[in-house]
Amino acid sequence: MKKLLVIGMLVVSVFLPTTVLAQVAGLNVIVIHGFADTDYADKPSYEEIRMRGQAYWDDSNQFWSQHYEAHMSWGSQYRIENAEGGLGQIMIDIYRQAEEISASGLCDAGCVLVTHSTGDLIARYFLDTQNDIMEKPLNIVATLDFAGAGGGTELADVTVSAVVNQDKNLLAWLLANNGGLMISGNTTPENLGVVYDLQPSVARTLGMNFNNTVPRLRFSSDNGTDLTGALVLGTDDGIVPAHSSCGSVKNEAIDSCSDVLAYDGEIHKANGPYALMQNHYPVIMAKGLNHADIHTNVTVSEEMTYVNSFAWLNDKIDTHVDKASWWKWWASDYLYIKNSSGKSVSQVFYESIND
Amino acid sequence: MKAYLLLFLILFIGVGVLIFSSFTPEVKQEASFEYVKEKQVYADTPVRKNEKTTKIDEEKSENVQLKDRLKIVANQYEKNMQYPPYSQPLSKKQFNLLNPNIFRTIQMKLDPNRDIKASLKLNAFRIFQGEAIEINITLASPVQSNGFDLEKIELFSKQKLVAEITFSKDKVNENTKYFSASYSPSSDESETWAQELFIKASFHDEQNKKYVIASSFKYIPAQAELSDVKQAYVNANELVIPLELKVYSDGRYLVKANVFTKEGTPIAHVYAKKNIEKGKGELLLKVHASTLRLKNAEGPYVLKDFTIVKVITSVVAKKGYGLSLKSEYEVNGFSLDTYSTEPYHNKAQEQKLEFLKKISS
Repeated sequence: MKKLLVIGMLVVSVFLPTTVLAQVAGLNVIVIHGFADTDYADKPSYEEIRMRGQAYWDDSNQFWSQHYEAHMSWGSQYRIENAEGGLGQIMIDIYRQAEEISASGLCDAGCVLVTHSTGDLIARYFLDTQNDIMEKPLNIVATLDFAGAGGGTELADVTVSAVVNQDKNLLAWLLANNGGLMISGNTTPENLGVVYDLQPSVARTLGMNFNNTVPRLRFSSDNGTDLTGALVLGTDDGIVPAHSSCGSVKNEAIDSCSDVLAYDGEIHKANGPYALMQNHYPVIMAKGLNHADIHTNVTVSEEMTYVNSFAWLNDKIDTHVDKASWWKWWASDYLYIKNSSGKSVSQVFYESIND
Repeated sequence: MKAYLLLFLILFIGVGVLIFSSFTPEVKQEASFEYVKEKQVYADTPVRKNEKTTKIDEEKSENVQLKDRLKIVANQYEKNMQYPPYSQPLSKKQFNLLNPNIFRTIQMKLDPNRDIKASLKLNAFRIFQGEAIEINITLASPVQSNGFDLEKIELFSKQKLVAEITFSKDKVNENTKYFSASYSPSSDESETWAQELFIKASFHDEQNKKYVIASSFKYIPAQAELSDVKQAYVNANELVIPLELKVYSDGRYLVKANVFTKEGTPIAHVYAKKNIEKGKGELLLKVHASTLRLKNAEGPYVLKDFTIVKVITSVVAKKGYGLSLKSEYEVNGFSLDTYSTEPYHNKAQEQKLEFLKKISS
């Protein structure tokens, strides 16, 4: 009995950080982190992956450090699906952790997944496959996806091209100019790791059966660089294009998650997604935030805007908002989340739902 | 005199602008309920004009407004819940469902410092052994750049060059060059390949500097075949479409497909999953009457866009794909009165809806 208790405590110590204000709307939170370039050179073990995963969220600048009960961690040097069609090491590790969470009962009453970047793609694959793989799947009620990379990024295309061509100059240049997914020049096509999965043509085939009904709330920002602007389709946040973070059905050059709002909240006819993937709902757009900051405590000075959620079941409503009248030619209308300036995206959302 | 002319000119422009504005719609939109909702949101929401000079309604708090937006999400989710996940109404906009095996075109600047772009597209992302690999490549530059050209197309399996593919330059249109190629490997050849291949297109510029665009795709053996679609029948509130599958190994098989009217209007995206032993097996696709009634579609129907997957059922299992012997099948229909009227209800979705309602209230 004592042994069982110790094992139970160990399980708890693995999955429960010392938080005081966890939960979203009364549900436990599991976090899944994003891409980590250092994994390529360091090749961390499973235990190290676990520690790195926790550190990713427990950094003092992380909003969610005080708001999660468990984390699922993975190594960027690995793949989601392997070359032979089986689960890649990423998913083998994710399932190992999911089984432990399942056994602990943490999600029996429901959990919310909070993902950043590639964590979105991994969450989608997990939600798509867990009913076939787990005896007791996790009861995931919703996901909050910050800068979701589920649609892939064209930076992965550039990186894969450079790796296939063994163009070390281009890889070094991308590395130096902060324009790529930072992988070593020694990478070969066979050890591209998750960068392989992040090619839009690959990412958009992974976890796309949508045989689950989990609503996916999307948070997107736009602070790309000139370089990523040249390499990535449409607006981007420095790594991930809007077509991915918004949840568009296409890898397309879009400039907003909405047809009628820009990232800065200006109301005008915007180049929004052709349509959204099933159960994907863009919620907040934040201008001026980087990919690495959207899920953290980093704040923006401008107010944020929120996104119209349109139907995916029926044809997208073709809504145009033109400038109201010619005599308003000098004015622009903006739509804001009131008092959202000076706050982080997570804070705005968290305060709202816990109000 | 000049002053009169100037005054006349100003009046003329002013009248012209007024006439023009009277013909300019204030808000251009297609009639829709969503838009009305959108307008109401605008009307109730703090609006910044000219650097926030407009007075904001202090009685509205930010949380109410974010929650208002989340209410739209909850409403939309609740609306979607009327239809089973296995029989979702299909829109012509659902690009991912309508093109389940599309190869997403790779487009990139060959050199970040020069505005010369190349694109690469294959006929599919998953190509089955025995099928041709068809390649389309474009090369575009803002100024005529005759020295820039496609040099070669190569196919790699595990870093080993397995084929150099001959190509043709189809046309040169203004500043874009179009190339195409098709390669049909023999079965002896492709059996030695990995399932994941890389295709690499190499270009050179005027100074013979090399550029590359590359991508990956799958060249795989079929593990199952859809051999027939049987007569559909009505069971309570569902149209049941029996499929005959031939599978090459025991496993759990998922079949996804799209239902259209004979005229091509999308109706439903359907799927079903079943454990099938090696040999022939039957799998039943079901279209819920709520979906058919939404689309007012009695049939006959066309069933197409098949995806057949042997799904991963353990951490050591492997995924496989199947193909359909025919690209589409006709499916018989029934009067919508034939179906019973009990609505679809999915208890598993209730908690998700409850969550969305909770965060929006």
